[in-house]
Amino acid sequence: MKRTLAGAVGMAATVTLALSGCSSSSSSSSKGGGVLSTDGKGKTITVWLQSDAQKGWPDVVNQATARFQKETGAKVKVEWQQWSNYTTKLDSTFSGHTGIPDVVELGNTQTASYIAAGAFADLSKAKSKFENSGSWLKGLAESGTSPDGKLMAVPYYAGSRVVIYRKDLWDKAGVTAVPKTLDELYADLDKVKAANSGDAAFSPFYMPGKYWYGAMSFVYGAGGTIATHSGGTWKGALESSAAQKGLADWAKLATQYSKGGATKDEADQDNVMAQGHVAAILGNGWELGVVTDPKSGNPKLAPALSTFPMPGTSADQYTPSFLGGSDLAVPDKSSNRGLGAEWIKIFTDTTSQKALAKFAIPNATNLLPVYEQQAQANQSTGEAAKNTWFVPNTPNWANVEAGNVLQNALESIATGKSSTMDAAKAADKELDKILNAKA
Amino acid sequence: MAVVTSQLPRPARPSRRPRAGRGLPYLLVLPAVVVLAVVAAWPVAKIVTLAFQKQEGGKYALFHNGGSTSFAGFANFTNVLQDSTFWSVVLRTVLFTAICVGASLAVGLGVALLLNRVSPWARVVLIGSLMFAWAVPSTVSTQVFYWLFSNQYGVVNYLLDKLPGVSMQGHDWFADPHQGLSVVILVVVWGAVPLLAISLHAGITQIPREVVEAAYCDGAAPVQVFRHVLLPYLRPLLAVLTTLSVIWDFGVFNQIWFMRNGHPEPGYQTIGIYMYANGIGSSHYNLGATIAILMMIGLLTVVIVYVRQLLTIGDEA
Amino acid sequence: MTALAPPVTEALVEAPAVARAHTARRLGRRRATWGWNSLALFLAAVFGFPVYWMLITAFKTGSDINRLTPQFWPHHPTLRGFREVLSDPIFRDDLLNSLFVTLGAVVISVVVGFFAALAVARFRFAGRRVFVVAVLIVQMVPLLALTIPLSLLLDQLHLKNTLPGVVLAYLMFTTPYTVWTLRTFIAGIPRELDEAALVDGCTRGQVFTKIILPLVAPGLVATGVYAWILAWNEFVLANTLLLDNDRQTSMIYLLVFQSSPTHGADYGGLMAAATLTSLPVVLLFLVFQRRIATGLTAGAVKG
Repeated sequence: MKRTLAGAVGMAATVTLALSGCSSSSSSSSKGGGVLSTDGKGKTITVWLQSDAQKGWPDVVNQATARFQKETGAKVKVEWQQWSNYTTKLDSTFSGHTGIPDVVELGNTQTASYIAAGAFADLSKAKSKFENSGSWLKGLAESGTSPDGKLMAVPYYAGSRVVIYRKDLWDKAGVTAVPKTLDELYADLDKVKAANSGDAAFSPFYMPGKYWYGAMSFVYGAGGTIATHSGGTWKGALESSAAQKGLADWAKLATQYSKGGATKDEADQDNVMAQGHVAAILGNGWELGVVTDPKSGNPKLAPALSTFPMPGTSADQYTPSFLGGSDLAVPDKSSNRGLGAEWIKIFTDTTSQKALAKFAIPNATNLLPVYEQQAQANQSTGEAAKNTWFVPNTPNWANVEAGNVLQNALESIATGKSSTMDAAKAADKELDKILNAKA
Repeated sequence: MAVVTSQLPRPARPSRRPRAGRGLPYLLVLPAVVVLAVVAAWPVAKIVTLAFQKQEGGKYALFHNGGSTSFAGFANFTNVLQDSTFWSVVLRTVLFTAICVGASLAVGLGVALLLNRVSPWARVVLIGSLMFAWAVPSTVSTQVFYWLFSNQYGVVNYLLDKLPGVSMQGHDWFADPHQGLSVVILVVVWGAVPLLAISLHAGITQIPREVVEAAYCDGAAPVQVFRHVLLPYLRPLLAVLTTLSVIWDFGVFNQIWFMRNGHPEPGYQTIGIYMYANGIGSSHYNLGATIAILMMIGLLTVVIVYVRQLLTIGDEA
Repeated sequence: MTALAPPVTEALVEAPAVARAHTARRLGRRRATWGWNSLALFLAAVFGFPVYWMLITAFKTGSDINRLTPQFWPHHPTLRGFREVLSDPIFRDDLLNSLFVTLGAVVISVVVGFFAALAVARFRFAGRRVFVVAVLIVQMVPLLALTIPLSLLLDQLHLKNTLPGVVLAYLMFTTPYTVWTLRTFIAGIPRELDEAALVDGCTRGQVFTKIILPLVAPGLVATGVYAWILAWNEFVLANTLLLDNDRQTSMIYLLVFQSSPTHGADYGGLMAAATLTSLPVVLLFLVFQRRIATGLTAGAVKG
């Protein structure tokens, strides 16, 4: 009991210090309008990062932490997170007072509901201090901004999707040039299908039925959108003719060229491709590595794989890719907000991002060339990152994902249970209900 | 482990109720009461409160007021009870639970009877196998069953396809929710049978052999012996096991959730999934609490029959 | 509680006929036993197959795990999964944390449950029915609905992100189970034994420790084992309540192998970790197997 009481008093003291640091330019060195702080002697901050960094780019984290420690004198404790049940963990943590981290990573489709709930500290005053903030990728920057324009979360890294294909199988089928339009793609897939007609389990293009990131890309590519927002009301827009065209484009892949994935999502598509009966998938750049990883895939396929951005309806436009990725935020209830913001600043500055560019798409457009230099696949994904779409930026979007609205609609299309129009009608009804639900 | 009582006459006692240590039962119950009061009282009270408070779509109330919002009367309850999806989910859950419990008990009892009949070495092998099955966590076993029933690389399709005249290549077990839920029922039953089989087997071994032999001597057929001799002895045990099975199978979540990779289609939703999806899964804490309470009321009404029976065991004067 | 004395006398009179019938049945039974044994082996194979699949997947290399033609035996066996898991210090930490939490929850709930079950089974006191129904109600509360309220409670008690806090949370679902089941066992032990002992001059306490406890000991073990399984395999609460990597449990560790936005799932590693995580439970079974088999229903059978 004594320990916790002292702890509570100590915490109250630090909170007061942090608050006073934020409200005025105090004697302690604070920059960026009081948001950032480099006074960290004797303190330890807690950083919640997802296992992607732990597995993919631990050195990037280490160098940022080392620089941070040198600059502020504060120690850093990184707690690695898992995506499963993550929002429940965040909700439970933010609702209490124990163990609140000073930096937290969130998926860019998860931030909106937390921003609306006032979970994060306002970093607007320090925006200019975050390097490259002027050229942040739109999809990431949008997800970190509150509806009234405040900066609540800082872009961390991004991912875009391209076509990953078996160059050897395509060459064997007589397709040597990369398709420039969707129609060319379908024609190429027909050739690949014909060349492998003996294999009953063969998919010229494996497109899982619940792959909504993929499907919506075609909707946006055809000029449609998931939902429109006017006069304060959201309206599901999948029934529009543009969206219907997009869904038809997608359905062609999912029903005519894909085998066996109608009731599945894209989580294990790399494992499926590694089995050797798939000639192309739509995936993130790093999925190439997963297909050839000895733990989960087939290393022998490494020389046979190549990539190109998903073509659009006309030769000068790619089908836009969903810009996935993560943002970093400072919880409002954190007791070291200034230090947390400082750590984010260092972790997302040019030095860190250049190191990160070896593994993932960095957070700013001016850094894309660094990324594209790294590998052939990166050229495709870098290209794809220049034309992206993002989900309706509203707190209720998280409930659309939780309710599997799009997955269910797409699955019924892919399994042939309903037409694109019927599925769209059902989905739009759900979208209207969920997106307009009063907070 | 049969308990033998002495047949010698004993001095008659005026009453069977012990009068020594009137405070003793309260002392004995105290630790449990304290534990449950600390750990269960407040959370259960919180759930009840949440159910009667206004539904807030976002997490603001949770982060700043511990989840409390203004009083809303029965609004949440009418909201849920008027949702037609809720009723189809309830119907599906009742069917699902009935099949799971029925199948688990039937198989469990069958295995228990079998264990009684086989040679000791076969018994060891079967019990060993059951215990290994029991030790696997449900998330892992669901993953394994998902692979076994996969349309592209599943063992089940592969083996069934080998049967003459049967073509199962590429058959998607999860396209139709009825088939998919059958696979889920299989996992649930697979995980439930070990406890039931071993418990019932132990129960059967405790039935006095002489009673069974006497029944056979009187010319009873095995089925009659089962119905009129074994079952009455097993009734208390069956009552406990059925109650527990109903409670657990009613709230099944893991097996359905992970079988559909975290995105169960509407046709797969039982009340556990429905509660999650409409509760913490979508930050609707008030609705989630409401559904939880409705779940409990439903369970209580079903189980109350067995509870009465259980409460009277050991109470005979 | 009716006496267990069997109707032996009549059977003794009928001895010769019985003996003849016995021999005939025994012969028939021997023939039939071959059939039953085969059935038992078949069932053992059916029940064990998923466990077998889990085991061989742990030894398969990545590309062999989900093939169009299933491999019923690893064609390229590897110890990579096991090596990685066993060399990971976090795995060891998490296993120890799981042990602490589970042992704590089981021991406390069995002890607490035993006392409460004694009271409910052996005494009539005001509030007895209320207590039993309250326990039943607590058992029926869906754990998923309790996640946030429980975490709020533990937060207020300053027990969040601590292992004892998780033990306390687990008591919520293990205690009702132990009270409920132990009550049935104790009720199955005839009161005559109590009374005989009391007549012989034992105190109530001695009746409990010298008469009831030994008889119900196998039942205690069996209840404890099942409570162990409930606590060992619990995931959602542990994930929500334990925030530091070195305090988490084995079930949370299994998540490491799932797919994420930037890397694929490591199924071989997952099954290796799952096998190693199930081992303590299996060891528990092996140690207590006789007790479990006999104790699950000691006295619970009517008679």
